[in-house]
Amino acid sequence: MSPVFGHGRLRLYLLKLLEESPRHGYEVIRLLQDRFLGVYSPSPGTIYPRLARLEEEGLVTHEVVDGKKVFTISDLGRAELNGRLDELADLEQEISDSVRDIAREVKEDVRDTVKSLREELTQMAREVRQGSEQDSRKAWREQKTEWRRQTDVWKDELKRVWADGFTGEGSGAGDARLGQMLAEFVEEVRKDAASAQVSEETLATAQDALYDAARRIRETLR
Amino acid sequence: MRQWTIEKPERLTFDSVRRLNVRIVAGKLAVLAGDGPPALEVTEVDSPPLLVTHDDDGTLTVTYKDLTWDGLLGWLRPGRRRATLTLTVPKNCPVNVGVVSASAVVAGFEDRTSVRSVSGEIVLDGVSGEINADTVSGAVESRGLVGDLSFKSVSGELTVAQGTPRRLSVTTISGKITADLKLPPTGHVTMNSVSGDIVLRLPHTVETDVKIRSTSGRLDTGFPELDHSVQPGAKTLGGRIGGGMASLTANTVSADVTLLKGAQA
Repeated sequence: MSPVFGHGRLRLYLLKLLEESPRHGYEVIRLLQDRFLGVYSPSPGTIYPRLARLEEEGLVTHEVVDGKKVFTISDLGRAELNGRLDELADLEQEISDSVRDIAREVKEDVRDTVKSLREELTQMAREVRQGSEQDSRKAWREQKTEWRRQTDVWKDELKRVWADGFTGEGSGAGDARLGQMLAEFVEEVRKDAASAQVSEETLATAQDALYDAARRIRETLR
Repeated sequence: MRQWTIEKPERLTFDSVRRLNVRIVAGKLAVLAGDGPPALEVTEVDSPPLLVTHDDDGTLTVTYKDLTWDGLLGWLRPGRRRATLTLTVPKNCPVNVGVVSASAVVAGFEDRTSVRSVSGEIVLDGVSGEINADTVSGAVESRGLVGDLSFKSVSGELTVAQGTPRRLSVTTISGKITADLKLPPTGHVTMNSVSGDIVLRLPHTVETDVKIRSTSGRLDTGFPELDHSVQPGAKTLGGRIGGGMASLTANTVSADVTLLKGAQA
């Protein structure tokens, strides 16, 4: 329970509430809750025995209205209240201090909630972004692998075409191998060409070399 | 009509308050909803004194003599004008709060709540109904918001925790927006930001139509059902989550927008 209600304080505050007007026990509980903005909420198990005790001491009386007990302060109760006015003023002060504390608590509480929410969402946002960045990076990598694979397939296909070109009706056993050699030669030349500048001049030189090579191959085949 | 001039710490109680206007400059302001007797507690005040007016129609006004809504520049006149006050009034009371650099806590109101601030931070807790928060550079932090919220700021940030907005309208130049929302089927969220980034979280069960547009900001989402599209000068992220119904619209120039999907409970 809040330290506001030290020994005898709750009793004093109950008398004060009943002095303002006769009330049901439930109303007393609700007023206490409101006064403390729901931070202190006394249970009926706390309040009803207290009211019964006050009644035993003759400080309050009750009558039943619509099946509910309505408590009213007695002259004796009023006398006790008047005798403790200083204390009541202190109590009021402490209660308003506690209301101020509540305001501060609300503020700190909201700020904590908001701060942790901001951190949480910022972290989540970072993860989502990294996720989509990784996705696109992964997609790019997959694309490159796919291209590389395609290139390899084409290369193999090309070699096969060359080899096939040399086999057929009436061809010898070595023809396929010759085709393969030619395919490899083409591939090698293409690689070299890819890494160098090809000009008219180099083309002319290459053509000479090719004629020369063709002539020599033809000679060996004869 | 009754009037008080408050020059030193003091506590006032009122029989009935139906409407509340508070305008202060610096210091701390707390306005709390309570069913007890309406009360004003001033724990700090310097010169000039605060002026408290309680009209016959139940309007309670706490302000400085020369401070009016029209004379915003007047608020910025030199002078300390520091005050710390706590007000408790009924929760069905419309509340109108104006602060310059003072921080304000407003909690528990259910009717119309309007808060304006120049640089003061505003904390809203458990406020429902119709809420207006306008700020230049002050941050607005809200928790447990229900109902309609309109937020306007230049650089002030907005954070909404556990919000259930029926209508949420946000306009900012560079204020960052962070919101964790439960969007009801009729919920309507509109956000416009020039360069203030927006991070928004909706529950995984949400049913809403989404249209997010940005000129050069980055758009990301944890909802795979939304489509990205890029056209010259405009990126969009849009589509329907669940069966649709609620609506979420966001427009930014250079601000990034991240729409997060809440974890499955």
